[in-house]
Amino acid sequence: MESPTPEEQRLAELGREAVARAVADTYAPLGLRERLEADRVRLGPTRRRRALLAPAGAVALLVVVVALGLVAGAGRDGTIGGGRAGGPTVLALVQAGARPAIAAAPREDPSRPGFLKAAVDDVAFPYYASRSQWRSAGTRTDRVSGAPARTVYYDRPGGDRVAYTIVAGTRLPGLDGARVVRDHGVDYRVARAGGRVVVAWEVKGHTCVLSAPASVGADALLPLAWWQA
Amino acid sequence: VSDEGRPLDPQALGDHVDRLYRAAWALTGRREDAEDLVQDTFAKVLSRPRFLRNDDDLGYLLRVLRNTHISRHRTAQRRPQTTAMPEDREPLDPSGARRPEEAVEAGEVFELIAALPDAFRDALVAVDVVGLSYAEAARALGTKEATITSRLYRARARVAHGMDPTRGGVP
Repeated sequence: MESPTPEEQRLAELGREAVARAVADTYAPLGLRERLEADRVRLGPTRRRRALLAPAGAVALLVVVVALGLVAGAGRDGTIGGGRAGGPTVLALVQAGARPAIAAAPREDPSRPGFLKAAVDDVAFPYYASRSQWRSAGTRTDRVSGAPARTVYYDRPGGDRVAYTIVAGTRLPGLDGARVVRDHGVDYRVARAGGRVVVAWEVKGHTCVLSAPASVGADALLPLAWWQA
Repeated sequence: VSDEGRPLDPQALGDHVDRLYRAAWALTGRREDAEDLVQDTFAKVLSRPRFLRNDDDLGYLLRVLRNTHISRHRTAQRRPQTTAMPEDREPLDPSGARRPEEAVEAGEVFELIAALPDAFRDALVAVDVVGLSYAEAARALGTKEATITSRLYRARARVAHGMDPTRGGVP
């Protein structure tokens, strides 16, 4: 290639910048992530072996699988909030937390020191600002696979932001391979999901998920999860 | 490591969704098609165990994405063409981009990339959209680093020219 002229160089640089902006502004939609996660579960090793069967055999197997699924489903009736098919996953909550705030930051609840005036049922969001640099910065509410999930965002000086999401129900799937850290009898699952660092735990029949960009690190998230008002 | 290479961990695929989605948008020029392309790509990868010899995960996934795109494109050309009605269109950016104008610009840029000649487009997608190094991009696309450099430069200039055709200087 001949040496580019200054004008050509300037044009190429403008193009590079435009592409960089487009890349920085674009993330995979939540719906796509959920479909991919469902595919990953559906196309696991057992499913892959089934795919190798002859079509007629596969149809027969499908009948058996559906029947077994119905029996198993009937057996699960009465299980409270436990990772039901089609319900939210931790990954979906993490992605909800990665979206921007759409409402103003909740303030401290004067009637409940140590908590914000924001809650899902009787599980309130903590007021970190009393003893840390994390300040509530906004909130949003999503329906994740049909379940209402509320997120409060906390910022600290330097630009870091964590998302604290609460949804009714426990034992949500989506944190395979998580490291478990126990504190005061509660299991905190620590993992990477959706490109973010995640801590998930259960309280009062709800699942709480703290997530942040990987640069924040699990060491910064765990004290927020363990927080005692 | 066995002779057949390193196994691709299906659990790690989720780490690459954003990059592959951007790449898919840049290949197809349409957000709706990008979602379908990424889903087809993942389904193909998950359909059987995969073993990587020389590729990193992302380079390998980009190659599968590109091949899937080419295959889908050929199949689509054999079908009657349809056009989505306006009411079928979703909001520009459900993923949470900060401002509407940013989403518009991103869509415009990806559309311009998709319209580039294939060789230029592939180089730009590999390096600027997916974030591969020149060496990784050359390996993923089966070409030389110097070729990637040259194509990337021209592709960037064409994108800038497409955003403002009054600009001169397209190499």
